[in-house]
Amino acid sequence: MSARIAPQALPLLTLAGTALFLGFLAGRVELILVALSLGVILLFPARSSASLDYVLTHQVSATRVFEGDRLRVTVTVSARSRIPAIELFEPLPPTVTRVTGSNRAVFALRPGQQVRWSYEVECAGLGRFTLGSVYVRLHDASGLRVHERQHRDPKPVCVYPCVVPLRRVPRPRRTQTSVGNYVSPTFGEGLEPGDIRLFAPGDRIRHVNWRASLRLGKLYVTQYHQERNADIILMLDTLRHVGTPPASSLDLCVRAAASLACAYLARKDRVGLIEYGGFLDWVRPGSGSPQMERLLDALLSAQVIFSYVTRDLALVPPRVLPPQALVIGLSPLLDERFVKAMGDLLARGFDVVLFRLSPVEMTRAALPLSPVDDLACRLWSLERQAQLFELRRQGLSVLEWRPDQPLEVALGGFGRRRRGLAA
Amino acid sequence: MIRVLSGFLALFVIGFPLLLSVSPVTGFLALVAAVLCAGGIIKLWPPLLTAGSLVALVEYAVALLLSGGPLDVAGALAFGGALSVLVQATSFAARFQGAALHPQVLWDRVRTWLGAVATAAALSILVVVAAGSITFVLPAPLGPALAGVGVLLAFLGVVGSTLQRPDSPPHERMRGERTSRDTV
Repeated sequence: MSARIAPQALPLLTLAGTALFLGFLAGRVELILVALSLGVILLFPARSSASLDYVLTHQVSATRVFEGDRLRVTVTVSARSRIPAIELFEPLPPTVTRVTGSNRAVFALRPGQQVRWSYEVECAGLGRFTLGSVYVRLHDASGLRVHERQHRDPKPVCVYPCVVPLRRVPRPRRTQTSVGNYVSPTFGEGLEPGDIRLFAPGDRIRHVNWRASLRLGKLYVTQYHQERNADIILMLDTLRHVGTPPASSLDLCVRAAASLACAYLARKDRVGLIEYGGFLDWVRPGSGSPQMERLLDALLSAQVIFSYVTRDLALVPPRVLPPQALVIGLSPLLDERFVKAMGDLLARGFDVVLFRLSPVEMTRAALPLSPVDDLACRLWSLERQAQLFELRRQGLSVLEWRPDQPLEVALGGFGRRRRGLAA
Repeated sequence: MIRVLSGFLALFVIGFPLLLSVSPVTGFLALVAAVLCAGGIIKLWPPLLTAGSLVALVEYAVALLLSGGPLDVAGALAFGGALSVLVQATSFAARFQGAALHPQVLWDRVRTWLGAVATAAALSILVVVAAGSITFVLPAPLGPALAGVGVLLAFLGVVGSTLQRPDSPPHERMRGERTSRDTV
């Protein structure tokens, strides 16, 4: 605990000294008495820090929340001795906004008295932060001496990206061998009828097509299409971003990735993640709720780390980037290296879909209104249209997505443009 | 509420010397003090209020010199008490601005201020009563020495105010901290 003289003692000292000087200069006792009035409070005895004893506990209502959720922070202080004024302050991270109450409070406590102070915050932006660092200032009765202390009871809080339910997502061209929701062209166990053929020994009676058998006079069985799942790899561009959190291009891409992951996992697909940036990071494809947790944790850690080094996707092991996987790139395409990486995947035979987030609107919103900036943004839009045309010419499936547009709307009708999709 | 209290106290501190002597000098000083004090109270900025209080103190000294009246202990105590409470109340309001303040803290502090004023009054009366004896005991050169002590205290106060870190909440010092989502 550090103790110091409060700054408000210094004006009193200045005024008292000046009054004393003026008193002797002018030869008036009144000014000496004024100096006495100003200086007497400085002589009030200060209590030592040991006599200001208390117990502080800090609680947070939840440590794992989604964007837009609210948290309640409760701080309880129990005094063991009389405390004339205890000032409590908990700094909040910039991505958190206070909704009710105040994160700074001042109390006067009697011995044995307990006060509970709480406030509510809204987690506006995704990310990780730590609460529980409470700054305490103990003021003595005169308020001219303060003791400072910091209580550390770290409460890490994870704010996961908001997951939007998606009814329509890009369908993969190729399926894998595990059971899923896509109808495979091959026959086997499934629900979707495909063809009929003559009964062969070993066929199950329940597969006999009685209507066809009666009409044709021989036993026929119905063949069913297998139902398979697919491997989906979400590839996040962490080379560059525009905008400021919580509405930067990276934040939007992370939200989109979380929503896509949730939608694909609900279809029994295996979903993986590759962060393509200053360093390569990945999550192996998997399915189920634990995989969703893993993906959300990885997305939360995603951050832009700029590097001049171009990471080769050949370094990614096949178990992370399985053959026949659908690779979905999420990027504002501010760095040509990501375009090259997507082209490389396409050349290696992967089914590639590129979600191209437009950075023009975000940049325009951050700039002041000026005709020059307007013209620059229009030129940029034209350049991006030319880039889009070139990408489509190369065979990439590109989904253009504006920041003000919900992902569900951007996805509307996208699947119809792709050919050879799994049913 | 504290702004209103400080406003009334500033009005008294600036207006009281004008009751003793109305002259162009005291009027000018009162005007300057009023502007500085008003700025300090409205903005809750103690350095500006301190400057205004200093000008008001000089105004009081000039008014005492110009009036040349007999010793006014009650007036001096009222002026000193008002000045002391004015500075402390404004500093208190500035320090706890924006915080959820428990009412008991304010009442405790008001009690302390009033206690200090009462103590100062008692000491002043004691000093005035014993003035004759003190004059007899103290040697003549002690007056300028005490004046020098006053200058030294004022100087220390100003230097301390300039050098001491601001009594801002710790979030001012925490502003540089980053979250995991910040851009590197």
